[in-house]
Amino acid sequence: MAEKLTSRETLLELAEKLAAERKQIKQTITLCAGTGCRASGCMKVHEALQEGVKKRSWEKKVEVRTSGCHGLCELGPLLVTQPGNVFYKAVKPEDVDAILDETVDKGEIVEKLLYEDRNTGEKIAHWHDIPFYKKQKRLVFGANGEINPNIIEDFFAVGGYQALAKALNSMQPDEIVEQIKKSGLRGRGGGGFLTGLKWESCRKAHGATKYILCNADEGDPGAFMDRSILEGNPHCVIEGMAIAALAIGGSDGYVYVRNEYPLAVKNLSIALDQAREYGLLGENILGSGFNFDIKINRGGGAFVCGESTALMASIEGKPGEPRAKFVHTAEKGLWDKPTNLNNVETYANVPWIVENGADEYAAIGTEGSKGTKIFSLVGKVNNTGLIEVPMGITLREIVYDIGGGIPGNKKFKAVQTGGPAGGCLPEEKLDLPVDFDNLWEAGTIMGSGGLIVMDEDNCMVDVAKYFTKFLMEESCGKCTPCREGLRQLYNILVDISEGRGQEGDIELMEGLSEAISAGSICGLGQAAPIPLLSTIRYFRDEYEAHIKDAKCPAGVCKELISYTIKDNCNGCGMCTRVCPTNAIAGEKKEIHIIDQSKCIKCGACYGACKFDAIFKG
Amino acid sequence: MSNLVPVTIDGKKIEVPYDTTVLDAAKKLGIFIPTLCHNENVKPYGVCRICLVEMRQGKRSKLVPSCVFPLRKETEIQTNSAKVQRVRKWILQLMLARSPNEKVICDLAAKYGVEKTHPRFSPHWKEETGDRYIDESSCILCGQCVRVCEEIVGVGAIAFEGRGAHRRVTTPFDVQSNVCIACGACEYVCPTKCIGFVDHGATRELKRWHMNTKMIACSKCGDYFLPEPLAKLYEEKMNLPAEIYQICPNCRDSVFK
Repeated sequence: MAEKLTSRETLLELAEKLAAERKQIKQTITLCAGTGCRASGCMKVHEALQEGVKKRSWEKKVEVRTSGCHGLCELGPLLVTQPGNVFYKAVKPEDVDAILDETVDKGEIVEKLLYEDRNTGEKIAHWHDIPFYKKQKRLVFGANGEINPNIIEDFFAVGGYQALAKALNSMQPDEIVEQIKKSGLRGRGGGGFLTGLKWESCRKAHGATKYILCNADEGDPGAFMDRSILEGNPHCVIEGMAIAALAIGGSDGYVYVRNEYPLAVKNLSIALDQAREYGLLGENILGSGFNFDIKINRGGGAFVCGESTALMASIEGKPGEPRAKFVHTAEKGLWDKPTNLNNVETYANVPWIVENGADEYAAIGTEGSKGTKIFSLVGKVNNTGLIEVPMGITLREIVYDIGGGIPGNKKFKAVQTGGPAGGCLPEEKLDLPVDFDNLWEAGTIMGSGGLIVMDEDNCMVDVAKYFTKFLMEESCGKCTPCREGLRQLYNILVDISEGRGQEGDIELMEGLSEAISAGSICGLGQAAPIPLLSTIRYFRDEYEAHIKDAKCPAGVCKELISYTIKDNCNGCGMCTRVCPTNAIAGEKKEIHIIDQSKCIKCGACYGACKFDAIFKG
Repeated sequence: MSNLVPVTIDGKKIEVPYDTTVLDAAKKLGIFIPTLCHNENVKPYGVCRICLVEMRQGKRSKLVPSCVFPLRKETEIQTNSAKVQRVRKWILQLMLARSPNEKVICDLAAKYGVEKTHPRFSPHWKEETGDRYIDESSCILCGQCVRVCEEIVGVGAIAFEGRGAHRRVTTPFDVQSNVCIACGACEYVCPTKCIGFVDHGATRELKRWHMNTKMIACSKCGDYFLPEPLAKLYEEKMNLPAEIYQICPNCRDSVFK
């Protein structure tokens, strides 16, 4: 049982002691143990590392540490050795001996585990030289790779909870609110509302009980920013919430987290217990007389529960459905009490601002959007993973410099920002500096930070259909425009993708979209037409090709394409062997023929043909 | 905060108490706003969206549902602006696609110039649920039955189930409820009368809730007049002579005078 910290001084003393202790350890191996690397088998590597260290009796000189997500999930399991900052990717248990004997013992580099630049073929040894990391600014996410999320002392050693101590010791609540306002921090969950203003209105609201909620119901397909923060550095969220509670006058906190994030729930629970043990949560925090504690509420997996009023209804034990919020939740939220709800990433920014000052924070970013933003970069891009970049970076830098471009030399087509209700931006928008306002003007949203890269093989009608279906299925069904409107939009998109589109469908969908946006209760319905409208805005020709010519230019919509064999077929027979429906016939060394009535358009022949003799279109 | 708030609705001015809804303020001015899910006996719900009006506060303007929008500062409301008309027509077309045969919807649509739904809109889907075939197209999901059952009757026998287009009102587990008292309040408030309420004499049926409830026959005239579970609830809640539940309202006068 740890002894409770009773003042700012005791915390600083402990941090200093821990940092000094860490310096004693000559060498460390930090292994990423985020969900991505776990899926790639990092825990087996961890076992092998521990065994290897034990076998060599190096326990006193080498520390093997697991940490949160390092970001470059594509190449996991990842590890970094210190000193030297050597970065190894795709590490397997059998590589452990080489790492220990070469790198740790002799300071030599194991070539085959190094990152290799796809364009130049150059091998890069140090993590900060890797292009993926070079352009990032890891304000919030930086500590993720340095600390074990299950060891609070690791967090102390990198200055953890010192912002809370500072706020408790030397700042008035109004001053904290003022700092957050001045920093220009905007809500990272999607709304982009000024966090300081939100805090101010909740601070001013009347009521003895005020709730501090954290939205960790990250439901966007392909997005995992919040998960990785909670998994890798839960204490920074706890610290941010405690500072918010102090500023607003809140006494009870809830983290609403998806039950589908078991590691996040586990690491957060451990972190809460440890924070309580040290007296950083609970009663009389750091001897200041301030009381605040946090409970975890696990969500049942409804996308709409990420909406503020639905989330609060769900915590109350009611069905997770949104309600009208003309009376703001800052005034009447959870159990009709004043409530402040921020996203995980928003809270994670708070300690940095309090620690370093609003001016320093506001120096990063653009006019209207300050600080950094974490994106999950996925789709048709070489380096998929989690990135933290300053606001104002261009999409081109994200996709090509950090993301390493499009695999297979394919042509870039679009990038979808902002999750399922976000829009798709085309190539001519690649030089757009990314911030809340620019994205909105371009017809899309920042959302919570999903970035899905698409190439020439993606059909934009199909993309709109996919996201409209997702939102239709996740709509709670409470209000008419969202429930009935999205269903009609989806049915029309299905028709278009299957060759039954009609003249006037585009205008019809645009008109109906206005009613859905203007008429729905909550953000889900209000934003739901964005994928459709943005693809019509930038890729109208693709819709027209589907409707007027019954053609899918990208070759995705099955009903609109067929596979035929060209004259250059040399009759090798590979296609007949892979065809699952025996639709292809032909003599050896003769041109083969596809029986269209049997063909199910699976594309197996197209993929198998080595002579480019199969035509798709 | 009991001060008065100045409001202009369709050019007419009025001052209303803080937090009055637009719908109530319009009523005071004699201005009609169509509603479907609204029922003044239960809490406003704001889901049918047929009562949308255009709200302007300073430079800000947007559509808001008049039944739940609270007036808190000077506001200008237009109940029939071009945007309101446009969006209302779409909503009516969506409702007609779902419920093409419901008179209340057809009449309302006709009133606002919508004769039928858009030809590209598909009808409500029909689904097989276990061994029951359920046609949900007659229910417009206004939720009046659910709210009355919970807030007025106080038993909460029915609730919404399913998400998105699969949303519907039903009893827990889709079987005969053991808390429903067969009072029929749901049928009374239902705008489309889609509960399937039938008095068969000795039993009362509420098809949508899978209810077949025994009725009590009047000890004087023999007419069936009261569902058994309703009588039981009355007995528990009210201190009245037991025989009152055996005699129908028509015969009561002669007995209890």
